[in-house]
Amino acid sequence: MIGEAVLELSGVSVSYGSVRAVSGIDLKVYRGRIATLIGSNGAGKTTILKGITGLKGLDAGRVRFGAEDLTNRPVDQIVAAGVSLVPEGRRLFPTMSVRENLEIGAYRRTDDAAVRADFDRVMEYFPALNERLNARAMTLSGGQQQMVAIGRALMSGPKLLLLDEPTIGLAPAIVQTIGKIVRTISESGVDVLLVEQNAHMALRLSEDAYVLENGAIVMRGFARDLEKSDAVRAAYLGM
Amino acid sequence: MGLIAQLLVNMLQIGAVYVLFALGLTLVFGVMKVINFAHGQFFTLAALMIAVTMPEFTERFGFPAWVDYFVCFALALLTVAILGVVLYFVGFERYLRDLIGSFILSVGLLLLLEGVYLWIFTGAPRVVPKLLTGQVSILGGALETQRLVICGIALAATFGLYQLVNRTKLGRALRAVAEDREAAMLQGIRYRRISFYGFMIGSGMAAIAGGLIAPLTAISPSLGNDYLSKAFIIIIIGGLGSIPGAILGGFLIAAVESFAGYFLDSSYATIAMFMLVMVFLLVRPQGILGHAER
Ligand SMILES: Nc1ncnc2c1ncn2[C@@H]1O[C@H](COP(=O)(O)OP(=O)(O)OP(=O)(O)O)[C@@H](O)[C@H]1O
Ligand SMILES: [Mg+2]
Repeated sequence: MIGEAVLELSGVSVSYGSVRAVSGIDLKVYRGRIATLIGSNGAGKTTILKGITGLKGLDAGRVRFGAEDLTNRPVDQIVAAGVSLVPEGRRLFPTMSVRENLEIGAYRRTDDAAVRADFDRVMEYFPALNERLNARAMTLSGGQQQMVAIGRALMSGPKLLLLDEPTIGLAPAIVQTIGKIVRTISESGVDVLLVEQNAHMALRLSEDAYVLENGAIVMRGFARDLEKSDAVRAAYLGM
Repeated sequence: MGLIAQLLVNMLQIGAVYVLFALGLTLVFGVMKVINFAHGQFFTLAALMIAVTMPEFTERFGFPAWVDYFVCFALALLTVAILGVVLYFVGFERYLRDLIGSFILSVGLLLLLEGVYLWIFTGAPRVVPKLLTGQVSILGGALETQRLVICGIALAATFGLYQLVNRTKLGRALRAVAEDREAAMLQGIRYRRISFYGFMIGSGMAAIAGGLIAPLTAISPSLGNDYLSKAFIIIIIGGLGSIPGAILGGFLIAAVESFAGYFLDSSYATIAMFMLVMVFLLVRPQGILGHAER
């Protein structure tokens, strides 16, 4: 038994104007199990995350999160329900300091003590940020920016963390660090859906995996099984 | 020395008014991605309201002039706020992030409101009664007490609003929406609400600027037009959407105007301003503190 699905997408379709980007997506994230969604350029990964977080309305389908129906709810309500996205390209507030970027992650929270505890935890995860707290976000290296982006998402105190290609363009050592932290986050009780083009890292890190092609899910299963499948090895692992 | 002091106070005072005006315009642009060509109409309305209501007040209640000024100032801000709410919900809310739609809307409002003001207030220039009499001497030069006090208030208001944008939670949300709307929404910031607040605060800044200029100039329904074009110059120099840029640009333009206007001639001051714009467009098109497109 895998247990209970925390997040469940059923029949989700999203379009840009009249062009369908993804259709009929069924996807589940289980409690305590990292799920990954892999797919190449333009497959529709980001679009699915926008559908979950409410940045894009759904043409069809439903998004269930725990006992709540998040389908076509406004973004702020979805965030309040405990879903947090680390967006593609990090999307920090460039002229704000690192500290401000982190604090704004807790924008809707009023539990000040818990917010401070989460801040300390982010500093524990990413000690490198400690001495950059007053620097403007745009002056940070790519790896540090990614750390701030993940930290900012954690500052909302999420139950589910969505990560959109967090390792893209980063040096191997940083990719390792980010991978480890994602594991730690998952073990701390925050559920994780990881979107990646870097299938090597993603499949090794996660329990469950989905493969997206041209806006549809073409394969699903345990990550370790997909890692061994010939189709995945040929298309995504370059073997 | 006395002359320098006078020019300096003049510069700080017009500068603060320019800064408030331009800061409001740049804030509205940042948050809504709308260039509000009718921004000056809030400025004008505030000044007109004060000019019209103040003599009435003085006649009826006989308080000292500066008390009347503050009461009428508050009344003017209230009037502008009502106009702002109406314009936002009837018009601007439908054209968020729509540069062309909002252009047509705001140019229309610019013309419409000027016509309405002419009709209500007539075109005759009005003057606000003196608030304070007397002079103080600074650095050996005589300055009207009134000018000095208004200069102080203008600087304080500018500083206060700067703090609002930079230090408060609301200010942070405004800046976040201006820098990256989607990322801001992902932090739980309600974009539509913040965009309304941004519009009201930005328009309020124009109204405060108008109220502060009222005792120092002749007021007519077209008062705002001149300030609008200066605000565009300031924003080009400071960088579109940049708050510190608007502040620097505002004082820079005021300095050029005060000093070049005195030592050369006011028409040279205008030429100097446009030269400055040309230089910036050629050398640093993103402005002093603007960022090149990412
Ligand atoms: N704003 C948009 N307007 C129109 N079409 C879009 C828009 N964003 C994405 N698309 C299209 O939707 C499809 C899916 O895009 P999406 O960004 O979800 O892919 P992705 O899997 O995240 O790709 P990548 O790995 O490059 O990030 C693509 O065909 C893309 O061209
Ligand atoms: Mg993507």
